[in-house]
Amino acid sequence: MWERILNKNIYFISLALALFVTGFSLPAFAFPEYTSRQKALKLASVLDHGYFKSIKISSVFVKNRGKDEYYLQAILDDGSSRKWLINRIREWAQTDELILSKNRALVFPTPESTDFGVLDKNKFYRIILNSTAFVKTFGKHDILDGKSLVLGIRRFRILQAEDSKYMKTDKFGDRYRYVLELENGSREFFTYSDAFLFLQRTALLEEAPENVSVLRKTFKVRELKKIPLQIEDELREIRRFGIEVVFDGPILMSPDRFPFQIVEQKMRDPETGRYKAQFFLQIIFPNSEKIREIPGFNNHEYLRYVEIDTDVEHQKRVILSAMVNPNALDLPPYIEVTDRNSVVVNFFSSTDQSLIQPPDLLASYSAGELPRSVFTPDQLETEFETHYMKAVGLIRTAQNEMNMSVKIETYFKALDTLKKAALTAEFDIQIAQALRQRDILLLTMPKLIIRNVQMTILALQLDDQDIKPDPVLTVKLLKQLNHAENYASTQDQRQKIASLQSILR
Amino acid sequence: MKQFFLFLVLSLLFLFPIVAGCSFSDPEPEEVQAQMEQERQQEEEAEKLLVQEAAATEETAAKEAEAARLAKVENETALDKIEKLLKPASIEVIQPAGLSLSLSFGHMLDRFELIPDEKTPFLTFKGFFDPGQFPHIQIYPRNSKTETSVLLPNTLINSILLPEREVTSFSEEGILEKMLLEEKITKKENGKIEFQVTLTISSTEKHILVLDTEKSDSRHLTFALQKPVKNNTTNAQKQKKVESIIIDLAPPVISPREEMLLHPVTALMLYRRVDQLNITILNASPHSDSAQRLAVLLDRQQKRTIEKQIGMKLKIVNISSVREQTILPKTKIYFHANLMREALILAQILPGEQVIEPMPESRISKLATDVEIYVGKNFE
Repeated sequence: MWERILNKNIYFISLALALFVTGFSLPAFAFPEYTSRQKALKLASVLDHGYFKSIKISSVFVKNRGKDEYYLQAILDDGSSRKWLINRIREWAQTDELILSKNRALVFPTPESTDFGVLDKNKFYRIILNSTAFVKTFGKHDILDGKSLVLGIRRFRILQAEDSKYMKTDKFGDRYRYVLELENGSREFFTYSDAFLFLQRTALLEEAPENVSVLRKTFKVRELKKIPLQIEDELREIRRFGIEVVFDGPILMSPDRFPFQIVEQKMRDPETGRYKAQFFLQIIFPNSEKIREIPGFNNHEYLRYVEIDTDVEHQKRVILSAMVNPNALDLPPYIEVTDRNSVVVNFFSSTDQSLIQPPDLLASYSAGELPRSVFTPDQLETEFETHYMKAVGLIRTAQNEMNMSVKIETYFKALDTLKKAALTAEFDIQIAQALRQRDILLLTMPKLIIRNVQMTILALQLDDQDIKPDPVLTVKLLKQLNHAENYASTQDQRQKIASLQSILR
Repeated sequence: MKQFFLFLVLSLLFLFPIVAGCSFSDPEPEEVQAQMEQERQQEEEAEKLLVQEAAATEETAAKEAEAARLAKVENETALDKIEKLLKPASIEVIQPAGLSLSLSFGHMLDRFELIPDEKTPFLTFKGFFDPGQFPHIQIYPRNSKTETSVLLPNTLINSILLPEREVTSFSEEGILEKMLLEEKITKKENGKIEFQVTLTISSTEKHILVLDTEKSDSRHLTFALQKPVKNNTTNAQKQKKVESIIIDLAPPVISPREEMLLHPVTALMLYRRVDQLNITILNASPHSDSAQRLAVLLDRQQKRTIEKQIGMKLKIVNISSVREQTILPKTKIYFHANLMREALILAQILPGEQVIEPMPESRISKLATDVEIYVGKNFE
């Protein structure tokens, strides 16, 4: 009988059940009950002579449970002695049951850590009342995570009963205490912990530094403009188009303050009735407002339903949104701040699939971690980097050059510099990237040279058929054709080169 | 057979708390009767013994009370001090009503020693101590930062071994200058006697006196004379701090290298295509196993599809939860530069709605992972 019962793995189920019950009873994110010796000693001295539930604290001592688990023992004026665990101290401080002497407040700014601070409220009031600018730093998981804006302060207030967040708490259980009304119309509600951190990171400026722009009003959107498709990189056949968002005044922010995100939304297909995932590319404009209807576009290259909307979750933010096919989005958008009171969002499209082509899976079995960029992480500019950056700069200059002859000459210079870079490379990735760029250039050059020679001959023919071409120019063109001949990749190119050489000779 | 033993062990583990305190087998009725008879006899014998003992105790107590009364008359002044010195760790306080005895423990200071140390000198008292009362020791810095008072409740000084009340015989190079020992014995209105010692320690330089519980035990009481941490926030440093803030707030100065990395087209020339996508999955949902479930989905069910689409090997390098109490409404996918396409492919494969964002600057230096997925509460 036992054999039969046990064959059903009943004991494994029992064990799993027991583990589940044990695991379930443990809190997921509990604040620690005990702290280190040093912190406990410091906390005890901070709490001395404070008030606990309106009873004066006579003295606070440090006790320990294990080697590294310390807590406090408090003796109150009514003669009672109480064991105070750190999590309880935090809760009492949050609910004003534990008040420090000298108009100070105990704060635990880091959730899940017993690190604590003491906010000297008097000092804080003196600083904030004299401040003219507030450095707002965006929190974790905000699209502007870690970035700061300097905003003008209009008024500081202590929260009153009529305020919406009066007696309400943030996600860590700290009560909102103050509100800072800013000149751009937004309001910042904050807790004692926030106030403590503001002082810590000098977020309240009495005088804004000269080279820092204080944002005193929002940027108001005027219109959206299309920027047509144009060639960005002829070597990789990358094209660029864009959308220009025009505002009512100069944009006093750097481009990195306009981040982008891609949001997936499940939308019901009107034809089939089924939910289908749609992707929206969103560019966020902080400190901005849309105060009137701004017409968008239904189509602009691979963007659909381009429109600008107010962000309903964040104060004074607008979002430029466009539906995109995620498979068309090979490169991220690039933001530029112009001197025309506008921000240009550049989008890129390419037909060259090698851009996004990954290495052959079967052929690549690299065991170790290889660097992913040609740059060394220690920020030191090596000889290779100097040459390589110069080459990239020359390629970008050539791409923007309208004169074809100058463009080709610049590409030749880039080839020379890439050779120097390859000769000074120290890592495989460096030499590989230098040679890869060389090959891309060599592949494109014959096409460009053929076009240039054709255009030059045509121009000469159009000017005057009797005039003989300049011998220097002829030599130069022949030299270019010789180069193109060496690297021509198709039969058609070779035939054209031969024909042009005979014409020039 | 092995299985049977395993089951037995598990059953015992579960049943032990239930059956603890209960008898394991029921005895036969005859045995019970015999046992009860035996117990009754034992109880009767015990009662007899108790009566005899009570009579003896009364006699002894009467004798002791008489002796105490006589001693009190003979030498009342020497009563408490010498008696208590001889029994330092347990002091008896005689309650007037009912002759009940209540014991309270304390400390006895025999001698002290200053252990010099360049960083933290230690002042150690030797004698008899009750470690349970160490938390009641109070340390007060005096007005002068070189003076500290220590209140040792329930403490007496062994006058034979430590007769001096003012000690100045410290070496000139040492930190201590003077130490005053004040013993106070008071009788409260309720008849309770309280005794305490106050130490006043004067040093040659500023110090913070801290009770070192690690170096203190039943025979030692040690204080560390810590040097105060100098607050180096001078005006120049404050200025430096403000300047660094200004640098942070001012428009960023972008180096040519950064400029190239920032532009998508030039960045193409700087990055190599990778052959393995390292993913970290972090739980930012109220369900504790969401990260694990997503990892299973990616690694077991969708691995081939993803690898085929992104053209790279997929490797989950970390599955964890977010330290802070963060619950994200939607799953977020953070990608490093040049890996947006891969992040988009992942978003298309994952169930639910995702938000895809470039890696924030604060985490951009962490190159161990290419893509970080924060599983939001919308993940099912």
